[in-house]
Amino acid sequence: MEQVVTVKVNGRTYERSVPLRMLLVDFLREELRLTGTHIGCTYEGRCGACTIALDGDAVKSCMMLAVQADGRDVTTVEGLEKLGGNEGELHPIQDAMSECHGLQCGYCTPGMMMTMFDLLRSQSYESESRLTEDEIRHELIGNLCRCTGYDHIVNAVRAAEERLHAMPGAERAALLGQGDIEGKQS
Amino acid sequence: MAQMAPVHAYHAPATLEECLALLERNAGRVVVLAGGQSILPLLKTRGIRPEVLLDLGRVPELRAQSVTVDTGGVLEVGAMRRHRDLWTDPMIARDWSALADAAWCVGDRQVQSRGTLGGNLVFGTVITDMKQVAMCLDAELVIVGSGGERTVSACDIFADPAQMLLEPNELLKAVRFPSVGSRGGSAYKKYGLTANGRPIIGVAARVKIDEDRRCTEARIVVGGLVPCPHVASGAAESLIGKVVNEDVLAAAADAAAAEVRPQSDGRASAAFRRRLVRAYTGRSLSLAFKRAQEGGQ
Repeated sequence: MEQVVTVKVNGRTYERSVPLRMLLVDFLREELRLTGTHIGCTYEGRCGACTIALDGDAVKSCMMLAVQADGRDVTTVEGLEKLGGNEGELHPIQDAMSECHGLQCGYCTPGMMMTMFDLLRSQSYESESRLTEDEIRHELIGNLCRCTGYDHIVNAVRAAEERLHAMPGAERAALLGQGDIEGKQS
Repeated sequence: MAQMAPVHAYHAPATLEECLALLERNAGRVVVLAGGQSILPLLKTRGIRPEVLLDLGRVPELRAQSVTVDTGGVLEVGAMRRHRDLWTDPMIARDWSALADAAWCVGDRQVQSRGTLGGNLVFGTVITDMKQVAMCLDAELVIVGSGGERTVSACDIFADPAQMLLEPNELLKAVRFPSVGSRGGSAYKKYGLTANGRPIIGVAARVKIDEDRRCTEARIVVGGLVPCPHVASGAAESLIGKVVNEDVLAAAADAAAAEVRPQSDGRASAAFRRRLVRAYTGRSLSLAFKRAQEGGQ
């Protein structure tokens, strides 16, 4: 059994007929060929490598069906560099991961960065307060990394947060996808 | 590609009436999806093979949230409110702290984006976080069926493993949490094998104090136990009339550890669980008293 879904992925709208039992992660990888979203734990929902942003919120794309994404706005790791209008340039999150050596084998990295994306877009940039190390570690518990020991990833979150704080509000909002997807309800 | 069992129909209606009609029409072959974070794994392993999926995710009525002031500040949370909606709400964090604490430690950020209060309460396992919190906060569950609405007390239903929460044609619509009241506080603390795992032990505590900081009311509910969460009434009684200090907290934690009957299984031994009950009762109570003193509701 199939159903037609209309999903916006990284700013582009796709209309596809999908099997009811197809997972969102398989839709992204097999249908749209967006293979940046990884499958680490064979769909058990444990590793977080398939994390995407659904209307801005980090979710594991193996833990929902493609039909459930009908009418929703999905951002995958491929979408990061398109935010902010400087396509081809690394997103501050990608840049921070690179600079801080937040990745080694790179398998967990796309999911890790999409959780960071949600975390950083949920912060207030009005005040001078920053995420604490404990907060960052708590928010990343759904993303397993077997290489780095996490320290460099925590550093990357902080570096990206600093860069976002330092930039003008409009630029930051664009990089965090807040122009398009704000106000949508889950 | 994941090879899930075939599904014949997927419905995501926009009204509660349609949901109830679909439930009735597909009795015996339908599975209800709330956030799906417990159901999806079962679909993938073919542990369940429903012909029809009914997704509650597009019913605005199930996501409503309100506070009724004339009944002393009862918070009514729609069953489809997501964990993330709960812990990011400053009012819930301040006045119904145990609920916010629990929502913050259910699964991980991704699970909290999808998982719902109702799903956590309805899904058929007792090894979860929200059941002990609902019991501790004296919540009332609003259940809806084609015949209308009925309410049940969380304490009655979750403390009795023989009782089913829902009849086959019913849905959980909302959960009502009474106010903890002035000079009251609540908290939830849990231990899991992994930080995003189900609780080995999770302890919810709710207390009230008077002007002299004497404890006037206390409830402690220990979850992670089978067949159901344990209301640690001996531990709670030991607090009444006392000014809280470290010794009083330690005595209450000891009492809770003494009165539970923990199970041993592949995840933890009974002896370890008992130690966890002592430690986490202490932590949860200590935070609840701190909040009561800070004048949170």
